[in-house]
Amino acid sequence: MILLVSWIYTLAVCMLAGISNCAAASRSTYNEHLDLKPLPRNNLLASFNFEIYSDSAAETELGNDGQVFWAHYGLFPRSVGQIVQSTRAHELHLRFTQGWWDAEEWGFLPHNGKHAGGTGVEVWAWIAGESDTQAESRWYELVNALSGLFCASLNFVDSSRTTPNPISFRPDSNMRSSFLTYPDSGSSNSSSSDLHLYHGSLPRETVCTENLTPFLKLLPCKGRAGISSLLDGHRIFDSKWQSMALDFVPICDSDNGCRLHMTQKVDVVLDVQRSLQRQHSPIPRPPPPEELHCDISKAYHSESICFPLPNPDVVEWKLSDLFGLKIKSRCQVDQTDGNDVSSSSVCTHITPAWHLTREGGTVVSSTSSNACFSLHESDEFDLAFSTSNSTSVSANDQPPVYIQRSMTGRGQQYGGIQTIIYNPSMTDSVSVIYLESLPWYMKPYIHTMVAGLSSTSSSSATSPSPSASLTQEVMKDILYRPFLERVRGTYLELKLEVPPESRLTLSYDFDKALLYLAEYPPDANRGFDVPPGILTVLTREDDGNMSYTYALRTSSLLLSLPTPDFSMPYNVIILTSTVMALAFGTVYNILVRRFVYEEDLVAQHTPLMQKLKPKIWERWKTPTVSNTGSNKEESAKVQERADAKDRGLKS
Amino acid sequence: MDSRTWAVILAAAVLRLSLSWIFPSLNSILGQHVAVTTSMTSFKQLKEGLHLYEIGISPYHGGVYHQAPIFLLLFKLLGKFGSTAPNSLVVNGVYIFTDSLTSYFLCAISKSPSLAKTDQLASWVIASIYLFNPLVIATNVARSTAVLSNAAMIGSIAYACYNRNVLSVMFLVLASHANIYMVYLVPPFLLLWTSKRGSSMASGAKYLLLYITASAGLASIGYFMTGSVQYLSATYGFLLFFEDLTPNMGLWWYFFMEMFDFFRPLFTYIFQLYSFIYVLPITFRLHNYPLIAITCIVGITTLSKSYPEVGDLGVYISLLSLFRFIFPNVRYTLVAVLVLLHSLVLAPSFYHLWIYLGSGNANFFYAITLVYTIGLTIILTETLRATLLFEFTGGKDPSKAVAQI
Repeated sequence: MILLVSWIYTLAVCMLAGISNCAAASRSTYNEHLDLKPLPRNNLLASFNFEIYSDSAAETELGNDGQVFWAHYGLFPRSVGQIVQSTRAHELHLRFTQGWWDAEEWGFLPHNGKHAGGTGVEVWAWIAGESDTQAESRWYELVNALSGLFCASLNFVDSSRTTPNPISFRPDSNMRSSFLTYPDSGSSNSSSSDLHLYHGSLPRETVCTENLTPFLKLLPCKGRAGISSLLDGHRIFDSKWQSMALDFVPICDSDNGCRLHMTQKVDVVLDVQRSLQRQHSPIPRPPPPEELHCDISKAYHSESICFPLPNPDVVEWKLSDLFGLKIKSRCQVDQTDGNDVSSSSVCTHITPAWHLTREGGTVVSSTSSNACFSLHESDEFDLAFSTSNSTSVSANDQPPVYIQRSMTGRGQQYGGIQTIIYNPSMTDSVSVIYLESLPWYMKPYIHTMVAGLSSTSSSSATSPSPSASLTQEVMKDILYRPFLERVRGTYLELKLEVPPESRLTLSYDFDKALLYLAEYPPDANRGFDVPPGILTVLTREDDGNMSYTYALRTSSLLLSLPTPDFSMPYNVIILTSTVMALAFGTVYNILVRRFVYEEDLVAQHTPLMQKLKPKIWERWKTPTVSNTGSNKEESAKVQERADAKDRGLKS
Repeated sequence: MDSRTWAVILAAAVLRLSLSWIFPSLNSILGQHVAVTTSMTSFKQLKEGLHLYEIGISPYHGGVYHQAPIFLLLFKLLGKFGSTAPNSLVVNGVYIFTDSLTSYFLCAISKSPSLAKTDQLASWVIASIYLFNPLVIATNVARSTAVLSNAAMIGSIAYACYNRNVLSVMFLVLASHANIYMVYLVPPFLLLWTSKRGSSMASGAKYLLLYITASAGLASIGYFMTGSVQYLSATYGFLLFFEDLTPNMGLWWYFFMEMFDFFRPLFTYIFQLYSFIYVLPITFRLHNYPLIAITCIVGITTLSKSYPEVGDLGVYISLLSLFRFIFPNVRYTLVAVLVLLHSLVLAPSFYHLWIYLGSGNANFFYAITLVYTIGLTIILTETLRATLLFEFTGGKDPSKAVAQI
């Protein structure tokens, strides 16, 4: 309420004082950019890039409670701004990824892997707090708020899925000149020492349209105009790999003060053939014979036998074929003073074998390998690609390392993890940080960790020979925090040095835990997802510092745990209790009773009633018989009865 | 100790050594088998704890290591003499020596003044019942640390039988430090410590005080080693509150796995109480036979403790072999043996069906643990009954019919 009142107040003050005063230093701006790059085997990498800057920080104000809030967000989405400010997040990174990046075919990840997440949802943030507990509670607040904002299960990021302060991440902004000076943080200039980094990941989360829609809603044109109008969930999530990234990084400089800055990126690898087929025939049906591309080099090729070629060389397609619609118009964002503060452009990265035809827009620059277009305000924009040789794509740089992680062993009691890191460089060794955060029900044995090194150069092909000394040699540093049941998972971070042209194999054993019945998800036999490992490549700068130049993720793993019978709780409780009661009963039966000779039992220990009963019975039956009568007979009967009782006991 | 006993001990040592050297993978196969080791005794977890301790991380900081700190000290010391791999010479030596020592203690108990006047099996028979018991061999080859704590417990009995009470107290302190359930043995041990003629309540109190002081002293080692009392919750708390649901031969794991969250604390208390509730009644009732009382309580904990393993049954059977004089009174021996054999053969197979083949489910193994418990119950109740009957008849063959009332 206070927030709203002061916002209205500020607005009113601005209107009265004249707009130019409020636009003190720099105005909020919006840039959008689309990169299109054909990849081998008729794939297309489309990188959507949206950048939003808020107004400069001269407009921050303090609320009554000392809370900082932004008076003028400008184009910056207020929902995100308020969340990061109420939770004191200095930097926020959010990733929604699905699919697998084929590094051997496609090379470098877009943006050097900086904006690509692991399978599922990944989030990390630097949060200010006087203590760990305060920062941590703000972190849970943050993920819960984001969960609502993006319709993702981020609220399931609890302590067991949170990794505090991994060294694999570094802030993008310069935290020391922090833009938010919190009165309660003690000093006017909050230093990075009271910032806490938290990282959480949900590998099981399925990224879908429900996440894309709120993602696009943050943009000024809400996906209705500009390049974001191409982002149709049906096409984006039908891709081989896609990653949505949101990075909130405040930017500060001495001239303009601080501005909120958010980058949103959507990177998609589309299978062109598949998308085209979907466009032409939404219901899959076999192509007619004349459209089949046959491999005529096969010996059995004939009129009636065809070995289909998957990737035709001659292709021709338009953007609207792939995405289902054309770019509507430019996303035009007018500020109150009528100045347009946005820019929209589309660039292609092609080889001369490709031919481009555009519809609408203006050519900004054009070379043989690159062409950039700027969008017009009202025109629709479309781009047609055609080539006679689709294998000709612009060269992909080889990534500095490849990584592959897999599970070893069989059965559901224990297993192992094997990670292979491959350095393809002929000359340089590469130093990396490898982060692995495992769920608590995976119990690793760190003493079983061994490293094996095998050279891939043909001259000295050696088999991987794991050894302890080698483990010491390649591992520069180990950061390890063991798991704690139901509280936190294992955190393992390794600094490694991989020699040129060699494969580093890391392996260790782990045990699989059993969970309580209620802790199993509904489809327990599907398995449990293990978050992807994160590999960060370090490069030594000229000034001697290490900079983080490339990041990549392994795929997530599916861990199958032993399961109980889910229909059994009552049966188990009853059966176990019965066995326990049986033991208890028999033991106490023996302990509390004593032994007697049966003859003594008859003579002395027959209960009164038992003594009297036959007498009464006899009397009632034959009232004439005297008391002193059949004494012998009577005792025989009692004996018989006692025997029967004893037999009953024994059985 | 005659030459025959020494031959048995030697043969058992050679057997253990050859098992571990001819089949090097046997150590890890048995060492990871749920029936043979638990997280309270696993050698692999001990190695992990030792590794963490050596690289400067408190092993009790996480959920990896739950065994007593004294094992860390012991194996760190052993590491100075050579590798502590499960089939290394040092570890083999320690485990074989410990088992031989246990059998030596058992023979010594059978020759002790209180037992020697009764009918006894020959020493070499008693030694072989322990040393050639497949359960004991498996536990030894699996490098379960229960081998060490059981040796301390049996050593404690042996010293008490020879009136070396202070040593006996110390051994019991070691045993109960490693396995907290051995605290239940204190009441019958008090009977044993004060059984000497002329002993009074005061001497019992003296030994109890000594036991408590020494236990506290040993517990403080953990504090000085790790710098915090965190290890108490990681070892004893872990055992008392039953946090690890890994299957074992006991009643706990499946019950608590299936139990509703709300009732879990209640049933944890009930189960712990269940294992204790027998201790005092058995001690009181068998006060004339403290050794049998100890044996019965060992049997009870085998059945009711939170992380039982089959090695406990091996120790229990070996202790029973000391009391030949009650054998004539034992009934249902065949039934008990068959039930236990049935469960011990089927337990690994059903576990395999569940975990590896997927053609069975958890109920298979669970059912076998129930059968195992019933087998133990038969032995336990028959031991108790036979002892009380022996007490009643005075060892004479009862010609007259006897009843229990």
